[in-house]
This record gives sequence, C-alpha cells and structure tokens, in this order.
Amino acid sequence: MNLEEIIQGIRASQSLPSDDELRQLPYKKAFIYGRVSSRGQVRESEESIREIAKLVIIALKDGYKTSLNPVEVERWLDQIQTGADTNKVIEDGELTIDCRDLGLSGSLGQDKRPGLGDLWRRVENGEVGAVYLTEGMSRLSRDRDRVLGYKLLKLLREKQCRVRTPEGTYNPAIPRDWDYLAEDIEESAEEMKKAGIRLGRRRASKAASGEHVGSPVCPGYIIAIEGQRRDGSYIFGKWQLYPPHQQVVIEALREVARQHSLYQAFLVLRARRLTFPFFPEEFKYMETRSALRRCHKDSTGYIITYSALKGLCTNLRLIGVWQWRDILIVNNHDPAVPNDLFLTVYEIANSPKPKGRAAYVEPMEWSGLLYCYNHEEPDRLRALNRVKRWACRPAYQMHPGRSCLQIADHFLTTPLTRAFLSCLDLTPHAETVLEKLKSEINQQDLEGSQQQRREAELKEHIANLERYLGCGDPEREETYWRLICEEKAKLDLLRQRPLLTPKATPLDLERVAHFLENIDREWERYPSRLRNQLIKLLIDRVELRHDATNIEATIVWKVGLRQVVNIKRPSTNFAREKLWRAEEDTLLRMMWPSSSREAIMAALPGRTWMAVSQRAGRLRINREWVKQQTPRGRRWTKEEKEKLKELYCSEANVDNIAQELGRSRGTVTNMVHKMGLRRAKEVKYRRREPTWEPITIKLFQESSPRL
Amino acid sequence: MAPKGEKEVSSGGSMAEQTLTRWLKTGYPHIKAGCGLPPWVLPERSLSRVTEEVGDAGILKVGRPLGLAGGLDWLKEAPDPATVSPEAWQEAVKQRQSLSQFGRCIGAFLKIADTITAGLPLIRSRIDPMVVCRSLAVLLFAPFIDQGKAVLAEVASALSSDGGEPSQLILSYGEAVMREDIVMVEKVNQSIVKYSAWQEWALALQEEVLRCRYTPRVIAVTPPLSAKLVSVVATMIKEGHDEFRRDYPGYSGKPVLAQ
Repeated sequence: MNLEEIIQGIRASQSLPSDDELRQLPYKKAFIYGRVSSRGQVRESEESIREIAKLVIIALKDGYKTSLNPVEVERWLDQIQTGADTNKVIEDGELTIDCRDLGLSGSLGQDKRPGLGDLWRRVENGEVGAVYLTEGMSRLSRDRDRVLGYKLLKLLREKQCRVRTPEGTYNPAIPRDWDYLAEDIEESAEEMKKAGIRLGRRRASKAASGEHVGSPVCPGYIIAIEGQRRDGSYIFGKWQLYPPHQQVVIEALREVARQHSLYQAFLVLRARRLTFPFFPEEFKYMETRSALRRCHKDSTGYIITYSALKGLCTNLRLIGVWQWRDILIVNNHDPAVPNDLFLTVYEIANSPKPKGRAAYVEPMEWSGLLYCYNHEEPDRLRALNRVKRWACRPAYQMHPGRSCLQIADHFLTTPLTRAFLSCLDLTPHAETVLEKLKSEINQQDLEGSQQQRREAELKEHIANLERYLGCGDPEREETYWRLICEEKAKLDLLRQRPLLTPKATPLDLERVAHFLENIDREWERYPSRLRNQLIKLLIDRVELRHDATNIEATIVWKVGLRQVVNIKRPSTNFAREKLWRAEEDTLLRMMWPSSSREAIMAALPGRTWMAVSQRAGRLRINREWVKQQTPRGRRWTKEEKEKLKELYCSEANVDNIAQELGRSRGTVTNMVHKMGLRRAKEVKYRRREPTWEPITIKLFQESSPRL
Repeated sequence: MAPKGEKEVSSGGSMAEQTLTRWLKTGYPHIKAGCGLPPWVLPERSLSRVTEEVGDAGILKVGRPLGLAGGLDWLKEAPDPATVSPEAWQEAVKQRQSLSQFGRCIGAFLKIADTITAGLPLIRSRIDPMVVCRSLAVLLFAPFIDQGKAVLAEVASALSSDGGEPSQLILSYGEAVMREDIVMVEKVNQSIVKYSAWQEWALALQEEVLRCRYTPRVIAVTPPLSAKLVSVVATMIKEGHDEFRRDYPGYSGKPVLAQ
C-alpha cells in the first residue's frame, strides 16, 4: 500500500453520504400507514383508501420484497371500507400495511392510535427504514400544537428513516427534506386550527339559538331528534323534558330542601335507593349523551352520587336557563323543577361549609368550656376529638414545644360530668318540656300524612305525564301511556292500603319528670352533641389549675355556683409527659453519687430505678461503687406460687403483689417470667379510670388558691 | 301519749290542714334570703317535698323532745301564712340573731359532708356512721335554738374549739372523723348523750329521715327556663324515648303521643 492509497482511504471514510444515498430505498423494512379522520370518510372515501393500495405498488417498485399482490390489498381495503370484521394489519416480507387508524383523528397521540404507536415502536427499534404515506406528514399528525409532529420528525431523522409519498422520497436527516416535511406539519396544524374555528362558529351559532351542541344532557331532559345526516348521525334540537327522570330530580331536590344539607340528603336518597331509571329502547341514544352516563349503575338504574346531586342543585338548565360558554338564555326550554325549589337548593349547595378536620365530628362533652388557668391569660383547651384528648397550648417558658396540659378526655370528663349532674335539677321544668313535646307531636308528620303526600306526588306525576300525550311521536306516546298506567296502578294500591295507626308510645308528665330526675343514669346514652349543648347552656366555664400530680377544676355555673373537683393526674405512659424536668435533674445530680436507692426513689416519685439509672448515665454522673452482698432469697413455696398466679392474673399491679407476698418487685417479676404467666388482654390494656376527691361547693365565691 | 298541752297527732298527719308545713314552706325562702344563702343551696323544692312527706305530725314528733312542739300553740290561731307580708317575714328573720350563723354552718357542713361520705366506707369499721350523722345533726341545729347553747359548749370543750363559732365546731368535728380520731368522736358523742333531750331529738330525727322515701338534695341547681333549654331537654327525651337512630339522618323518630 502506497501513500496515495492511504490518503484516498481516509478521504473516502470521512466523506458524507450524498442526498441520493440518504434517500435510497429499499432501506430496512417498509411501513405503509393508512389513516383518515372519520368513520364517514372511511365509508365514503374512495381515493384516499385506494391510494393505500397504490403505495404497495410503489413499495414493490422501490425494491421491497413481498408476496403481496396490489389487487389483493385493494380487496382487503374494500372489506375494511364496508366494515367487515377483518384484520387491519398485514405483514408480509419486508412490508407492513397498518390500517388500524382509519377513522381516527390525526390530533390524537400515539397512545390513542394503535397504528401510530406500533410505527413509533418499530422506528425506535430500528426495524422500519421507510414510512409510506398517501399524503404528506398530515397522515401522521394533525396536532394543532405541533408537538407530536416534530417529535415524530426528530425520531425519523435520528433513525435515518425515509418518508415515502407518491410525490417522492424524503429523509428528515437532509436539511432540505426536513424543511419540506416541517412545512407539511405546519400546514396541517394551520388547517386544523381553521377547521376548529369554523366548527366553533357553527357550534356557537347553534348554541345561541338554544340548541343542543354536544354537552352532556342534564338529568330530567332528553334531546329531540330533528333529523338524521347522510352519515347516520342525528341532528338534535332543543332539550325536552323526560318525565321519568324529571320526577326523580324533583324528589332529590325536595330531599335536599328537607334536609337542608347536600350530604344528609345524599345519605337519605342512598338509603331510599332512589335511582334514575334506565332509558327505554326508543331513547337508547341518550345513554351516551346524558350526564348520567358518568354515574354508577345498579339493577334499577343510575345511582345518585353526591357529586351528581350537587350538580343538580347548581345546574340552571333545570329551570329552563340555557348556558353555553358566555351564552345565557332564560326560558329556553321547559323547566324540570319549580323555580322556588331550585332557588332553595341552589342556596343550600352554595352556602359556605365549615372547614377543618373537626367540621363533621361530634363535639366532646365539655367542648369549648375548659380553660387552663396556669397562664397569665386563661387559655381555652383544644379538643383533639379524633384521639379523645385535651391539650393546652405549648408552654414555651417551661420547655420548648412541651404542652402545658395534655390529658385523655375521660380523666376530665368523668369527674366533671358527675359533679355537674349531682347538682343539676331539671324536674321543676317537667311541665314546660311536656308542653313543648306535645306541640311538636301536633306538627309531626305521622304515617297518615306521609301517605297523603305520596298520593299527591303520584297524582302530580300522572298529571305531568298526561300533559305529554299527543306529542305526535307514536313511540313516545306509547311510553307515556305505559308510565301513566304504572303510576295509576301504584295510586290504586296506595289508596287500598289501610291507614296504619301510629306506633306511638305514650308520654306523660310522670315519664318526663322521671326522665329529668334520672338524667344522670341515662346520660351516656345521649350523643355527645346533645350533652355538650345542655352543658353549654348551664355552665359558663371550667377553670383548670394543675401541677404534675393534681388538677383543680372549678366548674363555674351560669347561675353563680362554683364547684371544685380535685382530680388526681394519672401517671401517664405518654413519653411527652414523662420528660425529665430541670429540678429532677438537679436532684438526681445531688443524690446519685452517694444516696441510697430508697432515698433516690423516694425523692423521684413516678420514676422507676431503671429510668433513674438511665438518666444518670445520660447526665454522665457516676455512682460510688459499693459492693453489695445480695442475701440469698428464700425459696418460693407452692402456695406462694399459686398466690402469685392468682394475683398476677387479676388486676393487681406488681408493687401490690410484692407487698402482699413480702418480696421485692424484681423477685416477683423474675418469678412471673419463669412461670410464664400472662395477663389477660382486658387486664393488660385496661383503661385507667380517673380518681378525684369529693366535690367542694364554694358558697361565697371565694377565690380558688392557685396550685 | 303526747305530753300535756300538746295536740295529739298520729303518724301521717291528722292535722288535716298541715298548718306547720305550710308555714315552713312559706317562710323558708325568707329565711334563706335573710341568711344570704344562694338559691341552689338547700332548695325550697327539697324542703317542700320532705315536709310534705313527713307532715306536721312528723315535724312535731321530732321537735317534741326539745319541747319545740309545745311552743307551737300559736299556730292554732295563726293566720294563713300566705297572707303574711314579705316585710313581716324579713323583720322576723332579722330579729332571730342566731340565723346569721345559718349560712356559715351550711357552708361548713357542705365542706365536710362529701369528704365524710366518701371516706365512710373506710372508717366504717372504727366509727359508727349513725353516730357521726346524729352528732352532725345536733351541731347543725343546736346553734339556732336556746336549748342548744349548753350542748354546744360541751361539744366545744370536747373538740377544744371556740364554742362561739358553730361553723368552726362542725369543721373540727369533720376533721376529727376524717382523722379517725375515735377518742374525739366519742367525746363529742358523750357530750350529746349527756343531754337526753338532744339524744332523743337526734334519734327521732334519724327515724323520720330513714322513714322518708325522698332523699333531699342539699345542692340543686334549677336553671332559669329558656326556650333553648326546653328544646334541648325535649330532644334528649325524644331521642331516649324513641331509641332514635342517629346513623340514618332521614329518620325523625317514632311519633310520640302525649296523654
């Protein structure tokens, strides 16, 4: 090899391929992609579909090897056009024909177009070297935002994939071809934009005349069919009332007005299993056009969900107002519900709701009444309803982030309620309460009135249906007649049913007085909401003054009485409340080196020896080591073991057992461990009950001494 | 057999008009007001029910050992208590100097009563609860009648306390009971037993109290009537009466019929 040959070789390897070389076919496999925008085009178009067959001929000419015959392909395409159930993808040799996207819009992404998705994957994998298209890039994408088109073009450039049209071959890797294909994408996008504006204008002009323009039809209505287009699609006019659904809408809205709450009404409707009946065969087309299509279904019909109910309460179309974008037409169609009913429920649905976690939680019994007086300004305790606890604000002056008071609800509620009830006497009001109950009974709807109401509803329904007779459409006429007959049958059945005597329980003065006298016995049965209401009516506040072991609660009645309850604070298991205080640390520093165990334990009540040792370790203080000779303990007798078993399985705590048996706590726990004794779950996790001292009544309003 | 000069009464009250009861019921609010007692302490309702149940006969029976029943002859000629003007009642209360102690005595009693009641199960084995009740009754009643001065002085010396302050005596006695100071409690008991009239009075009172089916409430707050209160209580009755189901909001309770 001489120098000349070497230089030539280098030049040859560095030189770029020419445009022709880059456009050269066949290159890898060919993929013929067919797409037209609508099903109508698939049925009606002749040229667009036939051009796909022509692409096969071109591919064959380009040198791709396949056994496919263009005539066979044309026949296959005919089958697709006629809607025959046939495979829409043919793969043979180096050729793939994909017609799965026939009838799908070019604005859809590859995830919604199976053909494009497949092409994308194959190009990415480097399987496809040429994409055959009937027109330009508009077949691949008509994305108005141009994102999909350019993404695809970049992919084709990266993979050196050619784009073949009847006009020529293009390779996006060539800048000129890129420009040409990009221009194609731009044109397609512009076309789509113009089409959108054109269609939008048509829709807007239709909507301006109050006609249906494709938005979901509100329950209670159907859309009248005014005709049918050549492609089989319907021409719709204005909305018309559909009585079977209209009655359901009215009933649902009445329930909202009755309950004065959307959620409560929803619960009632769910309990009553009120549903929108399915559309009969003649209105089958409404299944995809009604807003109900989004609702869940059961065997009886469309279930009313909370959001559906809210939608009904705020949809102005129910009172005949046509609303589309900025168009608002009053009295456009017949109202489905009475105006006043709609306005009532509209107000309920739009009224502000209480926010926050506790919005729908029953208040605790003493909610809003407990104040911590350990601060300069009394601080109202927060009710942690979810965990049934009370908490004061963090006392930063005591310890960063430490709560001044955090206590389980029952430790406060039980003593306070006992004290409250022990002084409450409502018996003198028995007569007034009975009068109130009597007046309520007179207003109360008994079963008879419910029956009358149902009868009136049925009559109204029949009258409504009868108004729709004579509409000219025999099919609809027949449906209305059937519904009228059904409702009349229901009415007859209701009239035949004997009026039930109300199952009332007599209530007399004696019973009311008995209730008032024994209110404390039944207290726990009433919901905490009612208990809280009653307490709030009578009690002004509860002043809480507390230290580590006691809480002095002063119940201040609105009439002036002050009751004092001294509650012993539980030795809690909550780590936050067991934090070591500064004074305890000081005490431990002083005592730990030399004091006896007993002295330390006495100085730090509520702490175990283990806790004290650990704290000392953390404080890095050492104890003077004294060798202690442990005396050998006396043996456990059989009786002692029996006694231990009995006591341990009962509710006695280990300290008491140790005292009872005359042994140390450690010995007892060791033996318990050795014997494998287990406490029953209900004993182990027993809820600790509060202990409190008898109530003191402060007759003369003397101030309570601060703890 | 009733002592000479006293009207023979049988249990249940043959004194059909129940004059004494009516005088007590009518005069009691004025006494309370004169002593500055709040309305919720020893409420009128409790007194009414007790006096109605015990009747004139019972009251006279209790008062007889101390000779109180004999001094009620004026009741036979007395007018209807309702006709007595409030001013006259107030004047009568003012004249009774000892009644100024009433509020303080009740205060002291309330202060120790709950403590003793709660502690009784523990001290029952060492101190007879009936002795405590009788002694307390004497200490509460003696300051308001002339016959009580001697017994109070005796009790005060037993308790080493000031006899001029009856409320202090009650407190000291209560503390002694809670301390389980048997010697002190027994001394007080002996001081009372020494005066047979008081001993008899205490026993008669005990008998009447035990016979009475109604347990009077020492503290009872009856809040002023308001529409809201009535409404809440009525709702509670309805929900309790009808076994109201809260989980179903549409349910408005079974109908309730008033008789």
